[in-house]
Amino acid sequence: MDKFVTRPGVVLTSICGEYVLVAAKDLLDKCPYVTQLNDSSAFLWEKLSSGADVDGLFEAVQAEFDIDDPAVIRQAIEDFIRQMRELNYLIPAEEKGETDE
Amino acid sequence: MEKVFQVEYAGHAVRYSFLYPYTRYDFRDYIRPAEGEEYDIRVWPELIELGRKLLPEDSSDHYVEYRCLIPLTAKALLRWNACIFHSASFVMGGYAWLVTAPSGTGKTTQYFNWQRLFPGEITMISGDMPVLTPQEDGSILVSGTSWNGKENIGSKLSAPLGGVVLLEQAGENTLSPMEPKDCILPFFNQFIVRPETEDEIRSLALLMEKLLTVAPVWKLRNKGDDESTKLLRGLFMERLAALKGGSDG
Repeated sequence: MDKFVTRPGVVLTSICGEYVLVAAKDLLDKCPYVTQLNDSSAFLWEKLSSGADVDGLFEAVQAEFDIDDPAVIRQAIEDFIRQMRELNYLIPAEEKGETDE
Repeated sequence: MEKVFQVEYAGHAVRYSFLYPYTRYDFRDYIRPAEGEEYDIRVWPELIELGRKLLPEDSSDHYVEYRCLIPLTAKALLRWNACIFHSASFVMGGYAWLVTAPSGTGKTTQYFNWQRLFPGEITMISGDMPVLTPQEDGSILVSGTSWNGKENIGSKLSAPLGGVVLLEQAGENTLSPMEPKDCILPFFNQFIVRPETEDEIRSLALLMEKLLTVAPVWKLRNKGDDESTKLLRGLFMERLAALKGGSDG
């Protein structure tokens, strides 16, 4: 799977125990302003933000959650990345440098 | 020499430098000259042109500037974790009550209905754009601005927040409590700001957290008729009794 990273300017925050992604103003035409995340998606977002790749996500989920079946973990990670890609909150890793400039 | 004016929002001064001299009269009840030449906010010509496209064609330059200053003021207030919240806000029983909804949903209708049915019971703080400011005692202070909607109803009153109603148009009148998780998305859109930095996003999130912790929120699906206003009044009266009785209701 290609490597994806979190889009600069998208911030994960928590409000009343609910995880929320908020996109800064200059991303108005790129991704939704606000999206709520469940706990496991927020966990994966934090790991991706810290620089984890898919293998790193897999290991983090294995360490954090009580899931025995590796296929279930892989599917959950793929679903998360697909959803975040669809919302344009993730970008290919090679674009990160261009966005930072 | 640059003329700078300032407006205080819940004790926090925001300093303006205007493009058009008449704009200060749009703020006339709230503004005073400031010392020095430093300012927090000044509209730029490109923003005026952008703002003009969203307003009636015959809008004057100073009016366009005046309207452009709303989101810039909301952004400036984030440094105190305060912000402008699009709502009709009024005082009843020493507390502030917010009725929020997208434009054209009937916020002001509820106010007019209430005034007609129960004259003198409530006083508008701001018909459109009150400021919410967290206080050291944990409350949120609701205070007025000069942006009071097309009816231009407002006052210089301020009061601690008692409760919030999210208004929706419907064929029947129904009232239901809302969980904080269900308020997050609609409320982000009611704050008159799109944060530009991570710090601003976190300030807005902090204010939202305080708002949803301090004040219960209800959804009023309504027809805009007298019965819907009586429902709203009954709700706020009940909440007020709980606040006065020392319970959080």
